[in-house]
Amino acid sequence: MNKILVSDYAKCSGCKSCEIACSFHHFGECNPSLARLTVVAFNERGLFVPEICRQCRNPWCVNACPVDAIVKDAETGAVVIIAELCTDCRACADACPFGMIKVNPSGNVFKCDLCQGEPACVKVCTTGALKYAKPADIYFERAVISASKSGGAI
Amino acid sequence: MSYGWAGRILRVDLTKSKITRQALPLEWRTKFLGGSGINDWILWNEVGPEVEPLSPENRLIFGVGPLAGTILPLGSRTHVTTRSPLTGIFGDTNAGGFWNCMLKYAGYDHIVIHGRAESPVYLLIDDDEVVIKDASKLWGHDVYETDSILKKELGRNVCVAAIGQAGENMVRFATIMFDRYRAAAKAGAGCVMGAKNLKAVVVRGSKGIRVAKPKVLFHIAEELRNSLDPNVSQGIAAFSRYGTTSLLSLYNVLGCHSVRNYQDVIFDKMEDISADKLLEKYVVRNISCSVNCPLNCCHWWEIKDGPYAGEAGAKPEYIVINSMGIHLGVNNLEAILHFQNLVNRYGLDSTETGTGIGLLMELWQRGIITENDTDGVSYEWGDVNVIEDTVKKVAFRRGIGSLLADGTVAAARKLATEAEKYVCHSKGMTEVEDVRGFPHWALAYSISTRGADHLKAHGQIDKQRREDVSQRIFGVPDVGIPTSTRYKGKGVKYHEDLAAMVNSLGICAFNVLSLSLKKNPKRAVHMPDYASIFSAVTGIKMSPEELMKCAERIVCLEKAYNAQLGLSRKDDTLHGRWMDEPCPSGLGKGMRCADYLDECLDEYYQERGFDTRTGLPKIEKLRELDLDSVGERLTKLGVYT
Repeated sequence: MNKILVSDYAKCSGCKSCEIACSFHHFGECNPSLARLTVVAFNERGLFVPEICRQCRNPWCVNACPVDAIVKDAETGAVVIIAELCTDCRACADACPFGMIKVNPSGNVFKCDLCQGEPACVKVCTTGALKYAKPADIYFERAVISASKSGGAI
Repeated sequence: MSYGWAGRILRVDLTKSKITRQALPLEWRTKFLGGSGINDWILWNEVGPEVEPLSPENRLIFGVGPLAGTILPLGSRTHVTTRSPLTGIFGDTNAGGFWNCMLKYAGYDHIVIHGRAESPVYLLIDDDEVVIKDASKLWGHDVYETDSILKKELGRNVCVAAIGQAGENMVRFATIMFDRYRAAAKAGAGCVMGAKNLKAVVVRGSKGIRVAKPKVLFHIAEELRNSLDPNVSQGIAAFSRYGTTSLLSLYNVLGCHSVRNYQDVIFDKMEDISADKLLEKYVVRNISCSVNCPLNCCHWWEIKDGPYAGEAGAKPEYIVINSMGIHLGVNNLEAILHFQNLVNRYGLDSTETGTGIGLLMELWQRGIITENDTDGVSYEWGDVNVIEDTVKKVAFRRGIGSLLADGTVAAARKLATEAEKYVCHSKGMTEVEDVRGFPHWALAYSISTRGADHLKAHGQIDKQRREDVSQRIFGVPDVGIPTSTRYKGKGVKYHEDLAAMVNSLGICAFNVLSLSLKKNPKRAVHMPDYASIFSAVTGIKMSPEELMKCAERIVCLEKAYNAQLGLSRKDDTLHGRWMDEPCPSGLGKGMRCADYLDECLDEYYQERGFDTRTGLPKIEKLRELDLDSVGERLTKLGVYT
């Protein structure tokens, strides 16, 4: 299977460099409101949760698109919008339960395309809250963390 | 097209409920950069000597610099400038948070507030939509409550700058709190906000910041990020882990804490409140206090059990552990964490709050005050209940709190004739890092334009004993020798200019300091290096010399602001036992500032090109810095006669 992008809120410091890097990469400007991922801040709990597109295997957005303008990129696994076909009807944005289909001020929809396999957000994340790797490796690492905790308890 | 800057100033007249927008003049950008520099220029032009700090005519100026909110991993800061109601002179203060970038994303670099609303209001900025809204329901709520109420109403994607009850009650050292936890603590900016009946400034922005040379800047940002990545550098990892709490153990070795109101400099109960204890027992994770910072030096802590169970919050910074802990003889870390939240909620400067209570405790210890003076309360060292009670009294100006709420120096003058000698301050502002053994800091506190303060010429070369860095920057090792008085004028001038540059560019001093203290000189970044960064962001060509001249210009403008109020060399000094009582222990044992301060001041003024007799910038100096009009006004006011 392809590499996947995952987020781990327990490691997120809330610095938002990922949001700025994303908008800079795709739109040439520093603008979190144009980022394809969103770090939701729960200041009162000191908690920051990066919401990312999960590139679903059975995507809500693809199923909702009436003109088949969203397809899965076989190489990267990214669910991408084909601009030429898209009518900006926002059916995909309404369908996505994670809020990861965004709409810019001109009304165009856009979403994470994994930067052709080199996500700009991951490059600037120094805490490890964002990772782009093979699922087996990512979830093995989580198992190691969990095991070391229970191991400590034993 | 504006690169780096959003390009506009928002002006809000609360008396007339009038909102206007002004283009940020190009000349201001090239002369004063942004943030603190442009704030200073606005203050100079609009708040003359006749304007009282708490009058509607005083300005409350917010400013964010051109580098904030870009891809640079240098953090982001807001600078707030006003005429201070605590000291009566130039006042400014700086804070992290996310508010600053949000303001730029909404399309503004500065907000200038003037006038006074008839009843409590808050300002809501949503890109181009700016509205003055009724805040009667918010008035009386603390900072955390205000933040929550506003977010519930407006959504989680707004950023809130608010005052607590201390600002409402015009405590003269009230803070403005950004994003709940980041304090613009100095100079009583929150008091000015309260006097204007302004409870909060709420911002949401969806516009972007563009940069002039994206490819060049991307490369620079990558290099800086590598240098500041805790995973790559051990030194950075340590700073990331401890933040400023690393100073707790260092300062206990050097001897520069303030223990029981400056009576000692080494805390005998340090193991009870050590950084490691804080980290192991209470810190849950490290978080970032502002946008795009890889250091994450801010601690999120939680107290699981005991009398403070369930309490959680951000930081505390070293200075809070000193002022609300060590300074008051408190060795209860949980209580100090609780005090951190308390001053945040009420919106109080922890330093001035701590020094006020510390003064009462020492006067009590010496029998100078009794129950008759203190609402019947005993002020024993380390009594956490009395401290908590007094903090509340200050915020609400009740009983003895009303006395402390005017500032520690003012309180001392009213308490007893001999009380003032137990207050260490400069120009009416107190500080809690002992300076006696550290001439850099004694000089830095003395010449600071806002009064005694560790950030206006913040450097760590001496305390980290970095003779190598001193050699590299100054060509002599002495700036890196803590107790030496040699070349401290050179060092203070450099760091004062550096702070002005950092605060004007809108980035964080810690990131800049971390880069300059790097052990491998190839990757160390010094003051002149920011010229190329500035040019890549803004597209304005600036040589390293020109950038440093901007910093010097900003500092001299602040000096001129105070000069027009009658300040001169006589005010560039310290008061209290730091001057004439020998340092009791540590590296500087036996040292007194009175023995060396004059010599350091002479060198400092010479380095600055100032008149050593008056301590003022010479008229030729102001001309050289393209501040001709400033020199003319000072001449007209008779400052030079």
